[in-house]
Amino acid sequence: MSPNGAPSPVLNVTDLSVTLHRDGRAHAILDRISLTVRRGEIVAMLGESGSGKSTLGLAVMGLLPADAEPEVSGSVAIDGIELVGGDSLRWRTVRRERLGTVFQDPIGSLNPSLRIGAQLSEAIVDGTPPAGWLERVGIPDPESRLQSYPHQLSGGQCQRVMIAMAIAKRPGLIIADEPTTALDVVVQAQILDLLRRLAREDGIAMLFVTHDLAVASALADRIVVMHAGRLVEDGPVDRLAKQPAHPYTVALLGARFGLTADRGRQLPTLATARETADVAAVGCAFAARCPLAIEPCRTTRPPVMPAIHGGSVSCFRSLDVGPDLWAGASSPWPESVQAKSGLLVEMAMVEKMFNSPRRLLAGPARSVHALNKINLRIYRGESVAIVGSSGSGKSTLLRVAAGLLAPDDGDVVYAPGEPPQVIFQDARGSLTPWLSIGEQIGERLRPLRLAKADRDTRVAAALRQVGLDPKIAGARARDLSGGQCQRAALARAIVVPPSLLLCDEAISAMDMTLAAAMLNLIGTLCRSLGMALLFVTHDLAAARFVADRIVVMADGEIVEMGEAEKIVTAPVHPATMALLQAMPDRLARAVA
Amino acid sequence: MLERAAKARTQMSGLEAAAVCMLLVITLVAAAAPYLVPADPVLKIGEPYQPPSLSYLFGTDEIGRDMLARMIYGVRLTWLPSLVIIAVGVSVGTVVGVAGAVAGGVIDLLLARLTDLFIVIPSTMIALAAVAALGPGIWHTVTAMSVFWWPWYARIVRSEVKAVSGRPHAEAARLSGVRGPRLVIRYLLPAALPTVLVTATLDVANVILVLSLFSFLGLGAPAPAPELGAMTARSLASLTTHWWIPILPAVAIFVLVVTANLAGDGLRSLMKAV
Repeated sequence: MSPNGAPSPVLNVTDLSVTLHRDGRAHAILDRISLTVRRGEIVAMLGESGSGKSTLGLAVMGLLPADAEPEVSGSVAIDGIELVGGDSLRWRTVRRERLGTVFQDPIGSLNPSLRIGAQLSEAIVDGTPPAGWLERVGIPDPESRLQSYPHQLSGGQCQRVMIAMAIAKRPGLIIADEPTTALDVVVQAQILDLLRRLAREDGIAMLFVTHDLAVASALADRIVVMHAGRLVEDGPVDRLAKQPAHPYTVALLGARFGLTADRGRQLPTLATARETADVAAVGCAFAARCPLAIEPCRTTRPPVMPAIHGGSVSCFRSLDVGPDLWAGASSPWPESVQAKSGLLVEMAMVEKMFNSPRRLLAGPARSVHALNKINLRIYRGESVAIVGSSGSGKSTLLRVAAGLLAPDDGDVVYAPGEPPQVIFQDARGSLTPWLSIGEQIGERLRPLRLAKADRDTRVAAALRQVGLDPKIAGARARDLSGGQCQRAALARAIVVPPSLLLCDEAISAMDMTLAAAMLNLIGTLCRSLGMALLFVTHDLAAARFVADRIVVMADGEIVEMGEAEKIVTAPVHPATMALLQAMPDRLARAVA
Repeated sequence: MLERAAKARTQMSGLEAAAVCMLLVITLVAAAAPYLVPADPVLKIGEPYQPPSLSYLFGTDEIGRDMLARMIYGVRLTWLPSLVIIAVGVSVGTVVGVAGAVAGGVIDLLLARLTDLFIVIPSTMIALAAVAALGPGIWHTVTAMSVFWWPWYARIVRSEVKAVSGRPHAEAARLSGVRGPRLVIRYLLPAALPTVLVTATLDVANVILVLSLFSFLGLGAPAPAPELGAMTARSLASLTTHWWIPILPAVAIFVLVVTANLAGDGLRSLMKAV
């Protein structure tokens, strides 16, 4: 940004409202949003799932799903060109010439049947050689990479190609929708660094949609916070993080668990998470969840007013908002019913090889050591986190421990007891689409040969334990939100409590508030049901919060193992240090 | 998040729903043919070569048989064998496919190669030879065709079941202690069902065409029996003089094939919603 005088706006959104239709019902997704992004500015748009942030991104791109019969009112202008009400030709022209986009799923966003070079060349407007763009986004050996197909590149490299395609248009504005959510932490750190550097070098404005406050503060100049289809706060990144003026922003800050979160208590979470994006007709949409809510909050929509951090906020009580607003929302852990003693699982010299597919004329098949001489003991009632970047073998270790995968060599020995249960990353995919939730939970009760009424009672009790309405037993996975799916999967796992609960990246796809609630739930259930926990993650903060011991893996080997606090404060192995270095809140500090 | 916003609505179109209803009506008519026909389809009931009129709705053929009665019986003789062939094909294919996918190893390899063998041999030719040897007759044709009609279904079921058994929901079911037939029937096979059902409805058209081909060549139902393909074939010579005799059965085949295809499309869009 130029030091004197504000640069001209690239994106100007005024009073934008969007209504989408689903199953014949109208849902107001965005409610009178006003937002300006100026030349060279990076704005992070922050909000939970369902807050409408992705819809805003789609609305700006003119890509609202046509079969949802979108109704749009208000104004979206890019470089002064009004787009609402414009024909599809005008949208296309603006998208082609002025707008770059980076999506969450980089591999899915590239055409699998075209070489990288061909796809990149389509985006280049000024005849510069494509290899130069690949070099700028940090892809090694760019000349030969131009000949590659997307499947030959890693997820991180595909995202770099997408970024190259976005900037090669020389756009005024880039819209990035959760571009690093699908990537592991180390790659995420590199991509964030790349985006920031490129936007700065070329003076490109960027609207960055994310649910991750740490990512937002690592990257952006300004943060706008969305809640239930409205912009509730807008301010410069560092001051907003120190002095949030909206109670919702304070809640987001609190739900973020860094490396210093208090492990002795549960994470503070919002009372009820919104499941739908419908906006409240009158009043403040946050009033129902807000401890400061007063009468006007329920009857009058709070206007946009200046905030203490120099930005703006929509809240009647913003002057009373303090950082300890939600302190009461954190509850203590329940007593643990299982003493941490007695060997539960012993893995001895476990090996697993994977053969990479043999290619014609490419020589002999290569084998990769996914697990190399793994020795690991898990004790009853204990909580162990396995941490590593993607490809480190941590998920393979979990699958071997669960008995889903037979080791090539070595032994996995269990103490007698209820066999382990797994919570998968893809919660929806772990539920059978054509069976009801109740039927699937009941499946684990079949060996007990209960009467149907008793079985239904046990299923309802399990659903209540994970914080779901027992009525959900009759629903199918498609009727549930992502968070509800994960809770339903958890209910299935604990309806007969296993001695060991395995979680495979169970919170990686969740936004911060959902993830915090899930960590609280897993921690509570493990303590109250006496289950040991094996928690596989790439996130050291989550690992430290949930686990007594952290095991760090790299290249199929255990490289470091120890008490959780010790691993994050005094790491020894370079792989651990790299994971720590890549944590977004470390990045934020580096920027500041 | 974007995907959720873009989730498409899945419904049958009006045309497809009409086709499904039509197919049901056709099946009922075929089943109830003896009670519906206005006259015996193999007996002379009037003057030959009568054009469609109020007394003979579809006219009479070259020896004075009622065309409407022959058409209704024709649908019965074409449609019901098609259903039998497809039902046998789907059943055998499902058993072979599931057996291979679940057993794995050598059994899977053998079953897969057997399937390939049945796919690569020119099945229609061999069925023709078999029927020629057994002598013409509709049930000989049905038997010969059923023997060759399962491999595609075996392939579909095998690959769908294999794919789905590696997905998290199947793994979760295994971890829940579900084993054996219960795992297959409740957790694996339903994933293959939409593809199999849709393939089957689209396949109806193929079966009808091959059956008609058999009849056309004189290998289907023998002479006096009113089979649609045979009716068209035998009366082709009168196309220019008495058009209704070859054209009406041909139109019936056309309608059956198009209806089955549309109904298949409809079922597919319905299955996507599940």
